[in-house]
Amino acid sequence: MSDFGLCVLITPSAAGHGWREALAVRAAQLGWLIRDSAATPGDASATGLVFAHNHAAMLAFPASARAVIIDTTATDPVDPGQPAALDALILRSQVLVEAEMAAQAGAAVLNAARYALDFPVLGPVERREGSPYRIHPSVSESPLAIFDDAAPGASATWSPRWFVYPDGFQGSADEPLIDLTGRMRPVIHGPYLHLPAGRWRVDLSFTVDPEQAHAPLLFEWGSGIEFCRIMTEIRYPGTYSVSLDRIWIEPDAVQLRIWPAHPVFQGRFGFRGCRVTRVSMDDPSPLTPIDRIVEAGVV
Amino acid sequence: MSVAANDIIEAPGLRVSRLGKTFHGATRPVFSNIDFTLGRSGRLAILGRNGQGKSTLIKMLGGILPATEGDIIWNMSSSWPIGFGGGFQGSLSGLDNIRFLARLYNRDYRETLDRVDNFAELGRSLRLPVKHYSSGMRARLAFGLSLAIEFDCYLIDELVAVGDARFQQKCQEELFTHRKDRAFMMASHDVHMIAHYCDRAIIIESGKCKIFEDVQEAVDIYSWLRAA
Repeated sequence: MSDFGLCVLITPSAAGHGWREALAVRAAQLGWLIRDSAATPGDASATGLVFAHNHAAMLAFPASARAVIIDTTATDPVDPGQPAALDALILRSQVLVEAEMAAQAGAAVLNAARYALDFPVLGPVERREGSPYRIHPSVSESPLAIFDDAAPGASATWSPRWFVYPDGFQGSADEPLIDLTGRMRPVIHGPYLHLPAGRWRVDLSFTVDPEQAHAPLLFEWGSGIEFCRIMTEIRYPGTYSVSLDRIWIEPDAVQLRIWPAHPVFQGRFGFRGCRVTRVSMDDPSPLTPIDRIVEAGVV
Repeated sequence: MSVAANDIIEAPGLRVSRLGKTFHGATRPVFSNIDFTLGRSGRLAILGRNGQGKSTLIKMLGGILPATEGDIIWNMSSSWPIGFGGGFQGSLSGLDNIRFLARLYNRDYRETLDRVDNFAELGRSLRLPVKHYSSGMRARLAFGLSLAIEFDCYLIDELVAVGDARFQQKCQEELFTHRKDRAFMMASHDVHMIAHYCDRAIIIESGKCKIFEDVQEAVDIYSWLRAA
């Protein structure tokens, strides 16, 4: 039995599964004990190979013996030919947040998409993969691409297909059209992906046809019951955009919500998704207020 | 039961399809493409701001105004628009108007007169020409006649606009309590009455008409339209 140890946090994905198997084989060759932190939560020994599920479980190991394997692609781990299910993405975002926290605490960051990786303590390891990654063609960019880079400016596009439409929609999943007719209620919400603590900006693009009336719209960006808000009233058909900027004190499942600001008789809203960007905490641009509604400056 | 017979039983009491109205000389229709059905005990509210076409729709359903396009198919008997006094011949007395309508609807005159007088409480005033009636008296006579000749569906145009509080209470009891199994369509600005008595609603706005299965939602939208 060895005194050496390595703690690894792996994003749940097809490639991640391949890495788990490859690491287990390598550790067994070296005679290491292999554990899963979820199966042995009380075991705080820093020896052998430990598969962790959160950053806290890695703290028993020295920073030089921690690694995270991240996978930010939008492939489904069960059926790579299909668009990733939102639930799988949400779960993956949770682990990616944990991976980012572990990386901030000194863990080595490794990319699951590669076939050979140089691990701390263990050294070079190769994984065998039957089939290469396949990103579904309808997903031009993974919504998890924000985890590719932890520096300010990193961003990802969140396609309309990752959002929830309680009243349904017309048009396509990538350009949904929503009838605003009805009482004040969220017509779009989601995607409940987890983001690390920090300052996050969302830039939305949308079309509105108020149908010769006016479309009162409320945009909210936040999590739980804490949101920043922008309200606007659109009188002319066209393409518009708004931007909301908020600080998260701790990681959370985030949501963008779009409401008619009061009951409306007519109007159509076309959602084109949004871009989420990491913003430096000392960025001079003002945050969107949380405790009051700001009238939007739409384009 | 045969398929055809079953169809007759299941057919809605009223079917309106692609209904539109453009007044002579007008450049834009009052409304167009109205589609809805009404069951034999359905209670449909008609909401809309002033001038949007509520009364026009009620009059079209009552056969007083012709449709410019579309169809109105009744499979049940319908009243004339209650609250609409246009059917009276002003130079005839109330009694003669009752006699005329009893003949028109093939009802017994004596029985009809008793029912009208019971409800309207006009007494000797029924002998006077209707043109000498106050608006309240005309409303009593009109409402009394509407209720004396029983219909499957009542068309109500702004019930609260006529008569005093006691008369309105009497009207509501007659319509909504004693005839709760009948269908009705009610155009009104009174959102509390709409929310209380109706189970569906249509809103007419800017020439468009939308139907709402949730009356409270329609009331919410209409309240905002009215406040705008």
